Amino acid sequence: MINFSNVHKIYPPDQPALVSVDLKVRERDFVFVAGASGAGKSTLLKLMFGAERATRGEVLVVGRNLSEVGAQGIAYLRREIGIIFQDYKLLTRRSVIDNVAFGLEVLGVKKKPRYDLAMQLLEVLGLADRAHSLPPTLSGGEQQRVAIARALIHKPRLILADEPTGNLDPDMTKVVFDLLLEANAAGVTVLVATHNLAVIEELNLRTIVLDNGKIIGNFQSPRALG
Amino acid sequence: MRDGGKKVGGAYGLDNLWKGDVDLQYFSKWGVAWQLTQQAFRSLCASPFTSILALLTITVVMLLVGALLLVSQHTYGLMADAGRGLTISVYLKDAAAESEVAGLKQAIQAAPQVAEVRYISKDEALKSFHKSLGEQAGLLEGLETDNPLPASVEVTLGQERLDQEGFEQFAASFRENPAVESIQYDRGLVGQAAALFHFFGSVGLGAAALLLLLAAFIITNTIRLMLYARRHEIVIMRMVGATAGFVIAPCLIEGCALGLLGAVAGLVVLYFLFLLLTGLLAQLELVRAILPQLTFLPWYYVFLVILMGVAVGAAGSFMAVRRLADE
Repeated sequence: MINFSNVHKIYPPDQPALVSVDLKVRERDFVFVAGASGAGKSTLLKLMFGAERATRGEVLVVGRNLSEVGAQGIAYLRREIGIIFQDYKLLTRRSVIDNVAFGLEVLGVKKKPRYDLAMQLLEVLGLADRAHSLPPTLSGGEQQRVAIARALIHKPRLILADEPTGNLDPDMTKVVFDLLLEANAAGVTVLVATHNLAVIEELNLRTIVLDNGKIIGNFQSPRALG
Repeated sequence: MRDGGKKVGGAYGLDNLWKGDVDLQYFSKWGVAWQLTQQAFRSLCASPFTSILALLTITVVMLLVGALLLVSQHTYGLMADAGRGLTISVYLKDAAAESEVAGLKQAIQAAPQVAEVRYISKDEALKSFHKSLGEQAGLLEGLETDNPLPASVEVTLGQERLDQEGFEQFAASFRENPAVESIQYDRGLVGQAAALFHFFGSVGLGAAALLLLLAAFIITNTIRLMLYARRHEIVIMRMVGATAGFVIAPCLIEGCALGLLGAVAGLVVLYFLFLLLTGLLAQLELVRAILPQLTFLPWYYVFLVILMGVAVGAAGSFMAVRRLADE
């Protein structure tokens, strides 16, 4: 699903963000990327969905070599990925259901089926009664669930989440990870960048640790390491 | 679990949802085009102040472009009138055979610039000269038997545009004819008329180009402002897999719509101004004498102004969005 070979990312003028990263993520994996702020977690994710290009090395995501893919190819890649951000990135002047259906709108899905599916998704996420509200009127947890709904609506093959629970309380954090785990159980590969060690320890799933742009650990079962 | 959703068997039922009965029907190409057009108009309406301001400015610019065309159209008419009636004298050799002269007349008559061709025999030339001398005509006595004046063909030009080079070429084309001795015409008048044409042509063209550049600049900045207002939306669109075309197309439609509406509005205003001004100018004797018939732009000029509006709109918006294509 994801294959990084000797990947370097240097921001101008001379700021290394990732140094010689080798990484393999198989289909249906659930992987945490841990590390302190500035360790390179976000850059790693950005390289995966084509928001940044590697300075050196090869990045393969969902069968595509991203150093050879143009802007159009990146757009098509993202249609197979669901992206979740810490700050939700919702359209504040569009209703909740518009936000969720937006992922299908850009794919050219007709209005009725995209709103039907968006409403079903909001129902399972417990947000049906907020469907016509504007995002700023929702709590942080509700907004993140809307963002997750948008990332899930097109049944992505890969979910990339950058600090998805950074602004949430423990209860909402659990809701968000329950959703991600369920998506993973349904066959979606999930990669979550977080510095929430409690969650990593509790879920005890594969964890990659970054420090100063280098992978310093790749643990299949972090709890076993204490 | 607080604030959570509906659980199905300990799960949210995502798998059931994805395998569900919602049939994802996709738009046809025309459906997508319609969707993008709607998006463009939603965007125009979302920033009404910017849109109206841009539309007003483009209306004024296109009104000026139309006015320039209108003025140049009437100047062109005046210049053509100045050229009309200009004559070229083609003097013939005494030895020219009748058949050669007939062939020359036929060739001149066939030229599109020519309105009239008149043959003046040697005798007629002498009579005319005699007449023009009036009381001094006695000076010509004795010439009847040995007339030194050549026969000629007087060529009167029609409504074709005066062009110095074309005029020279036209005259030169008959110079090599074996029946022709020499050709004479008023170089000064032809030169002045041509210079006037060039002057009005260059000034008009330059002013129109400047105005169109201004319109493109306004549209570029309007679209940039709209893009700035929608920057978060665009980032999110790209994140969920929108192609550059999906982001750019509504902007191009917006630019074309602004150009089109601006051109149409400009022409409508110009028409009413034209009606108002012609009513006032018709009362002036001088204007009536110079321009007996004031007409509005012909349909093909109207079409040209609208086309220019749309083209400028497309170019202006393309300038604003071209960087988005690579992001």
